[in-house]
Amino acid sequence: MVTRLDPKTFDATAEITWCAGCGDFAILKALKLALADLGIEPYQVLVVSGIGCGSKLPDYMTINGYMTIHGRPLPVATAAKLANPELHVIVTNGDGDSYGIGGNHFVQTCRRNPNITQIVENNQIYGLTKGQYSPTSDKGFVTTTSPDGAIELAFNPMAIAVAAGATFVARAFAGEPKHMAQLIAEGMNHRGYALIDVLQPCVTFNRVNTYDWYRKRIYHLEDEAYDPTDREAAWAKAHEWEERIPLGILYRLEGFPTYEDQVATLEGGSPVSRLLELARNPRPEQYERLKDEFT
Amino acid sequence: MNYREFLEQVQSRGCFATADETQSVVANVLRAVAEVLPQGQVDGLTAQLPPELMVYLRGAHQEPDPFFDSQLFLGWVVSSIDATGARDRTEEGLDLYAAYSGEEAIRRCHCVFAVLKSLLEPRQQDALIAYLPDEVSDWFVQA
Repeated sequence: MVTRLDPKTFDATAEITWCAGCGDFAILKALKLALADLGIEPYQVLVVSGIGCGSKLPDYMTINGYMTIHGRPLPVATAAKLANPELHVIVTNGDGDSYGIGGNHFVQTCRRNPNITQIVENNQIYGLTKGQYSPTSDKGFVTTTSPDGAIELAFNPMAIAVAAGATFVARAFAGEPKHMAQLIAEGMNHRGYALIDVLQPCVTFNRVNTYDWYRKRIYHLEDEAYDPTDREAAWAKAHEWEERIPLGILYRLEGFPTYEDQVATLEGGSPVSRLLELARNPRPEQYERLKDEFT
Repeated sequence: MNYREFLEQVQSRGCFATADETQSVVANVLRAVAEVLPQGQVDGLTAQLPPELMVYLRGAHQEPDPFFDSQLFLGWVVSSIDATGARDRTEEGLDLYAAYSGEEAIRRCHCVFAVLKSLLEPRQQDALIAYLPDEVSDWFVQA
């Protein structure tokens, strides 16, 4: 029986410096709602972020927060999960941090399958640095660094995640916080790596992919006879863009072993649980052995 | 009041430079309203509003997202503001492209709400206020 918490449990006092109307507000709200619905206390959560507008999020919540250098939250989150598998580890970062600077970590995390949840604040632009095109900017997208339009094809996180072996791949829209909160909760309940890519309008620097632009294109996979366990169907849905953009769980594979499950060193307990045990019953020879094992 | 008169009043209140800009303001504010107003309530406004305005409200949902808040509402409006989004940090206020888009978006909401209110009966205004996010309902009342 889960005891639902008040989402205000996660409120913090730091001044929020996002632009008025930024989609990140909805992501912050949805994450609080999901944690509250799951009955997870602040001390049980670690939110790891990188650099960017969206990566300020841990500052705006009462949880354990860790802001890493640019593009590196996934390996830090994986390490935290290995050290303490009982911790709910969440990554929040933008499309540039995740798919650009941290692109390799993204692919490796998909195939490693650590039991962590990643929420990508995908606004298709670098907002904090005032509007350069990002990996997910559409081809032809005009910005200060692409005055003649972006030359490259946009990075497709859904397709890459499915191809690289991610076991939970979902897409949400910042304009629908309730639906987003449900997806975050499902992602956290999934045992393994869960990617939730959130289409999040940058109201200041992206004047193409606005709330209205998305509203005209999005639809919900839950409203169709769609089977998220069908990998080929997920591959097809991952390539839908422009005319119709699917929201919901594109792909889900349950029962696949997590990275932590397969790390032999953890069979005798996680470093944190063993240290806690040692703290309760101090024995110097055990401490030295543990130190040798993990250094 | 017909659609042209509606736009003229909004333009006059907001000192918007062109009819196109005014139309964009009206469209964005009403599309944001459509995100929070249930379809049934929108249908009830048909007799009061010019049909051109109803087009913007047609996107209303059967069951609006209960967590749609004032920041999301502003997001629909801010997207239409032609400014860099930052405050003017020059000593004499010389940065012509700077504008605090949040305040400007609220001002635009005020302009549209003021004219919209003049077309609605008190009970319809109350119904609308009940569905608007907290801060947005305050802007509607103050408009």
